[in-house]
This record gives sequence, C-alpha cells and structure tokens, in this order.
Amino acid sequence: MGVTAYISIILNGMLTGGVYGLFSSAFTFQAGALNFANFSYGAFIMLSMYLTYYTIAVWHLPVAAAVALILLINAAFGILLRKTVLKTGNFGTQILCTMGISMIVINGVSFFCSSYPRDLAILEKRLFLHPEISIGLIQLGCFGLAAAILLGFHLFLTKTWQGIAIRAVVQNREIAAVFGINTSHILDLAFSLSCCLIGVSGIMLMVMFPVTPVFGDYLQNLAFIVCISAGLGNMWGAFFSGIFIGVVPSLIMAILGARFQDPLLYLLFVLILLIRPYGIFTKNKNVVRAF
Amino acid sequence: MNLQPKALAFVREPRKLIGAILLLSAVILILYIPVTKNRRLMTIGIMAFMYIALGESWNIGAMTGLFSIAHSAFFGLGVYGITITLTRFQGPVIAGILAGLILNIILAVIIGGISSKLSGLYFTMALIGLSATIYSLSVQWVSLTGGSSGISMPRAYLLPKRTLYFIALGIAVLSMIFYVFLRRSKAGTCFVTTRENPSLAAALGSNVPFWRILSTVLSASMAGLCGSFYAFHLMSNNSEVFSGAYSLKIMMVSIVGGINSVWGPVLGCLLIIMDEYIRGSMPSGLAPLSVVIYALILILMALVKPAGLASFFEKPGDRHAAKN
Amino acid sequence: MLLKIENATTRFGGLVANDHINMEIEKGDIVGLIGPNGAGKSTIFKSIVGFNPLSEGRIFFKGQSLSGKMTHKICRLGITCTFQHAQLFTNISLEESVLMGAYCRKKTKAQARALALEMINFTGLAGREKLKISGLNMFERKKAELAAALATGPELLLLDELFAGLVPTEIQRMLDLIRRVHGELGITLFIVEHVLRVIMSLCTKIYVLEYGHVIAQGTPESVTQNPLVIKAYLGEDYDASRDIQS
Repeated sequence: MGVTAYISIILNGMLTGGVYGLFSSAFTFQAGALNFANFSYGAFIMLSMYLTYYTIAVWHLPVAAAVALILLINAAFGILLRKTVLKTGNFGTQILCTMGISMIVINGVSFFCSSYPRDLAILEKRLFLHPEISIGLIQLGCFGLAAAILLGFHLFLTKTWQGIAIRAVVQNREIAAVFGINTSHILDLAFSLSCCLIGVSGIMLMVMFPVTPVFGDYLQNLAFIVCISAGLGNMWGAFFSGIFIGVVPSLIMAILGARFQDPLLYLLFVLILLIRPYGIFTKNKNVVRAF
Repeated sequence: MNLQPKALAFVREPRKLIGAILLLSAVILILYIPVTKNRRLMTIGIMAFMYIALGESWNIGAMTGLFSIAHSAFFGLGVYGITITLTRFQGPVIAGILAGLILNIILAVIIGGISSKLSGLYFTMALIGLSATIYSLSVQWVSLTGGSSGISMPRAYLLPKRTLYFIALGIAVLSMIFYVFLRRSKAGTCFVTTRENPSLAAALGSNVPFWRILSTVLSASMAGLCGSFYAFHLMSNNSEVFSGAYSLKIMMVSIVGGINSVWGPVLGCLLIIMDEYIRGSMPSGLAPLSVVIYALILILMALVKPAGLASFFEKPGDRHAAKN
Repeated sequence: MLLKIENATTRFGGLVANDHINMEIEKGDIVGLIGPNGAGKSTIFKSIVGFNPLSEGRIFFKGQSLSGKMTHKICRLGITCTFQHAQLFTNISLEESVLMGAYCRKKTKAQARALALEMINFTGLAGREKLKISGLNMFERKKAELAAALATGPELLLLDELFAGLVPTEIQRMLDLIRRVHGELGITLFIVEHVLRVIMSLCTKIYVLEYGHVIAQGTPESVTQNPLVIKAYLGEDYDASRDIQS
C-alpha cells in the first residue's frame, strides 16, 4: 500500500481516537480522581448510543431535545449510582454492583431492542487534503468537539470555583470540608459531569459507528487499556492515548488483516502492563504497592 | 465449666442446628436424584456441583485477596485445553487435562506476578485486559479454536448423565475437602495474612509474592479442572466460556455465599439452581431477563449483606470477643 | 557488633529523610532512638528491615550486608520489627496471627503451634488465643503483636512506639514484659519511643535524631543534658531524674 494510504489511515484513526480519548478521560477521572470502580461504563455508553439512535432516527425528536434528554438520563443515573453503590466504599462491592448493572442494561437492551446492529447511516462527506488523502468531515467535527469539550472540562476544573472545589475534595476530603465545601454535593456534581461526558461520547460514537448491545463491553475494554497505559487519573494522557488507540487498530488491520486487530491490541496492553504498569505518562508510581 | 457432652451443646445453638438439618436434607436430595433418572434434575445438579467447585477455587484465590474478576479465563482454558487436545491432536484425556493445567499455571504465574506490582483498581483492569486478550484470541484463532462457533468434543467421549452427575459430585466434595485442608495448613495461614496485612506478614518472615502466586496457581488449576469436566458435559464448546457471564456467576456463588467459609459456595450455588430452573421454564426469548434477575439479586446481596449468606449461620458473637 | 549502620542515607525525591546516619548496636544492648516527629526514625527502621532501599550507605547485621535483601529474608536472618499502630491481622484469631510468626522458624504446624502458644503465654495472653484481633483491647493488641514478633525467634527486635496509647499502669506492665524479653529470651532491643520514661529506664545507649541527622548519642544521663537535645526535643522543663530510676 502506498504512503498516502497509510497517512489516510493514520489521520482518520486519530480523528476517531479523539472520541475514544474523551470517554477514556471521563473514565480515568471517575476511576482515578473519584476512586470509583465503575464497570457499567461501557453499558451506559452503549445505552446512550441506542438512545441517540431512537431519539433521532425513530422518534424524530429535534437534536437539541435528544441531546438534553440523553445528558439528563446519564446525569440521573450518575446520581443514583452515587447514592447507592458509591456509598459503600468497599471496592469489591462497587465492582460487583456495577457489573450487575452492566448486565442488566445490556440484557435489557437486547430484550427490548433485539441484537441486530443499528446504524444512523449518515451519508459520509469527505474532505480531500490531497488527491489520495481524505478525512471524514463527521470524524473531523467529532474530534474537534471532543477536544473542545475536554478543554472546557479542564478549564472548568482549573478556573471555576466548582472545579477547584472538586479538585480540593478529591485531594483531601476532610480539609475541604473544613473550608466550607459541601463535599457530598461537590462529588455529586463531579460524578454527574463525568456521566454527562459518557452521554456526549455515546452521541458522537453513534454518529460514527453502528451499535449492538455488546459494543459497550468492547468500548469499556478500550477505556481500560487507554487509562492504564496513560496512568489512572491522568486526563490529558488518557486523551492522547485514546488517539493512539484510534490509530493502532486501523494500522494493524491494514497491515496484517482484521483477524489480528483485537488480539494484538490486547497483547500490547498486557505488554504495557508487564513493563510499565503505572502508566506511560505518569511519573509517580502511586499505583504500585510496596507488598 | 460446661460438663455437658458436645452433642447437646451443638443442639443448643439454633443456627448451627438449622444448618445441620439443611445439610442433611441436601444430602438426601443429592443421593435421591440419580434414582429418579430425571435428566433435567441431574443437569441442574451437575451445574450446581460444578459451581460449588468453581466457588471454592475462587475462595482460594480470595484467601490472598485476589479479586478474580475474570475467573472464566481459567475455566475456559481448561475447557479448550482438553477439547483441542482431543480433537486437533487426538491425544489421550490425561494429556488434555494436563494441557489445560499447564496453560492455567502459566496464566496464574503471570497474574500472580502482576498482583505484586499493581494494586486495587489497576490490578482489576489488568485482569480484564488479560481475559479480553484470551477471549479475542479464542475468537480469532479459528484454525486452533474454531472461532466463535467453537469446536466439539469427539462423539466417542460422550458420557451418560449418571456418570457425569457422580463425577461432578466427586469434584465438588473434593474441592471442599481441599479448601478445608488448605485453610488449616501453613499455606492457608500465610495466604490469609498476605491479604490482611502484607507488610506485617513480610516482617514476620512470610515470602509474600510467593504465596500470592501460589494461591493464584491453585485457584486457576482448580478452575481449569472444572473446565475440563465441563467440556465433557457440554460436548460442544465455544468462546462463550471465556465471557463475563461465567465470571459473574462464579463471583456470585462465592461472594453471595461467603468468601471465608467452605460452605459459602454451597449456599451460593442455590442461586445457580434457581437460575437454571428459571431459564429452563422460560421461553428462550426471555432468557436475557433471567440474567437481569440474578444480577439484581447479586446487587442486592452485595449491598445488604456483604459478608455473604454463610454469615447467617455464624453466631453474632463469632466475629468479636465477648466483653469481659 | 550485631548491627552496624554506616552512612545510611535515604532520599524520597527531594526530601532527605535520613542523612548519613551511623549507628552501632552490640549484642545484649537496649538502644533507644528518640527525636521529634518527622525526624526519620521510622524511615531508618524501615531501611533496616528492607521496606525502603537506601539511597546511600549500608547496613550490616552480624557482618553481613543487608542491602537488596527482601524483608522476609531479613526476618529469617534474625531481625524482626513491630509496627506503630498494632493493626495486626484483622480477621483471624490471635493464635493464628502468632502462628504466622512461628512459621518463620518451625516447619510443621504442630511445632509452630507449640511455639505460638508459648509466646502467647509469655506475653500474658493465655486463654485469649481463639479470639479475633478485633475483640482485643489496645494493650492486648500490642502484646499480641509482640508475641507474633517473638515467635519469629529474632536476635534483634525493633520496637516502633510500642508504648503509644497505653495508660500508666499498662506502661509499667509492658516495661516489665520488655525487661523479661531482654533478660529471659536474650533478645537485643532497638526502641523508638516518645514515652521518655521507657527510654530512660530501659536503654543503655540513646541516639537522638533531628531532621534526618544524629544530633546526639550516649547514655541517658549525657543525652538528657545535651543542650541540642533539650532544644530540639526534650524541652527546658524536662527533669530526667524522675524517669531514669523507674
């Protein structure tokens, strides 16, 4: 294959990687900063994708209403999770409960919607940078949106009062409370925001990919790979790793064939785990235990 | 000083008495079922016994604090080990079982090694990554594993239901005996102290990384043996044995039943029995709903009684000393 | 020379927790280590048993260098330490906790159990062995941790604030127990303490640490009269004579 074909693949991979980076960032925020093991993550992305499909293609709601609805549902689930599962603090319980929720959502969706793939089938427009190198306009738009949202979230965390309060609570809950911060509400806010990011990612993914009930599991595994490679809690690292994860499978598929795409990706993950378990981008080894 | 004979003292504790009565009824039921020749009951029994053994294997890993979220990886390697050996390589049954064991030991050593480097959430995600690797390999490596449709055991190895029933029963009983034996041994003490306070255990002379790896190896091997048995039961196996559904069921049996007790998985398998009944009675289109039901039960139990069902049979005072 | 610490330096990033520390402990000594919080006392303990690697310097036990050795190997060589907060092992019985220590030297369960019960008796916890640790009070937990450490058969025992959180009568009983550990079991002791009565009445030699340096060393009398020590740690009002003779 020619060089231009590879450049095409890499560029397009980077663009889709932007959305991977977005939901991975949200996950690493939940897991690293909020210390919550949310194993229903993929299921909710999948649910958001189905909701996008139904609101736009089947019920023909206006786009703004659809987006608002999805964000609301995700935020509501986020608060529900915080009130029930997050209260326990026992890490094993969290995993079990969220895995259970994931199974409920996946099986609920396959029961009510059946398992054949749904696709928004939006006509693709391409932007030609070069006679043989083109990028999808939708992918470009989504990448731009993802980057903008992440930047916005970063600015929120660093510049606004609520954002700084969130970071304070994450670092030291007791001291933050002494300063008059309502830690419970702040954590609710942080959690709901990260759940909204789930919703947004779902919407963008639905625009680019078809969905089946098990797609969520696949996305969750990707999120894990991205977050561990970047280092848990490292949001920008997760974003860039997400972009990387967008590129690598396409390259593998182009060079070696679709058969090797998934196994090699996971094997790469295992390798990273064995060599540099605390993440490629992190300097502090706070995930490593002494014993 | 209490001069009454031990038997009477036993009767005086109502919880233990109820437990004993339940156990006796269960034993009677277990021995009665093969007499009825009812295939459906025997299948349910086989699944229950197998999950008891799987639960005990999970508990052995849990002794060192291994939260084996992808236990189906070990189970599935046992299934595929024997199926591939028997079909693709025409080897004897022993070789098939050994193949599954060797694969499991390799995986367990890797996981045990990682568990000494990563903690908590990271380690769990690593396990998921590893099991996703195995799952995708089993789906993609079609020439070896038959892809997602899987491969079947040769017809010649089809065993009658009664035989399978008693083999499964034997496996369950052996797994329980092994658990008790392990817990009372030096290894058991070293396992549990590794979980409770690894730095203190090391300061007292325990080689913590070694015990972690050992418990993972034992846990994996037991699960692998169950997998090898399962291959004979199902006769036609596919990649679904590596799926999260099996892992979740195994965890449910252990966690809902009780991690620190040999009777935990026995109580946990009641859920399996319930699940098999429900799924058998419902039209297949409603099958996903049965998953919803036991997921809900799992969540409820995890939130309400994290110590597991077995803790109902402990005296309330058992966990703490009487104040004196 | 049982333990020799030579120029031990430990850095955590930019922070120098231990700075070229030199200490010597002879067999049969009871050596104390005092100093303000954050002086690096626990750090040097952790370096001895192998929890933290040294950035510079070496530690010798009976002439053998301990650098690079894993903690459980160091325990087998004969050094055991107790921890500050006496958490022990939460969900198992006292007997099994001490059994863990006994397995360090004994191969079979029967032998280990005999040793464990012996140590439980020695520390005055006889009859409590079937209870879980959560059912013991603070004093009993400290004794339990001591029993587990004794079961490993150490030659050198490092005690990190064993007396913290004890009421005065318990301090006296624990003092007598430690004297028996030293006298009857012949174990050399290296003690970090803030309860000065313990240090002054037990120790033959004291090291004083401040900001990672050894600022004074010597007998209890000489150390308590050292102006550096008074300024950094003891305070002007401290009267040593009250503590030394108990």
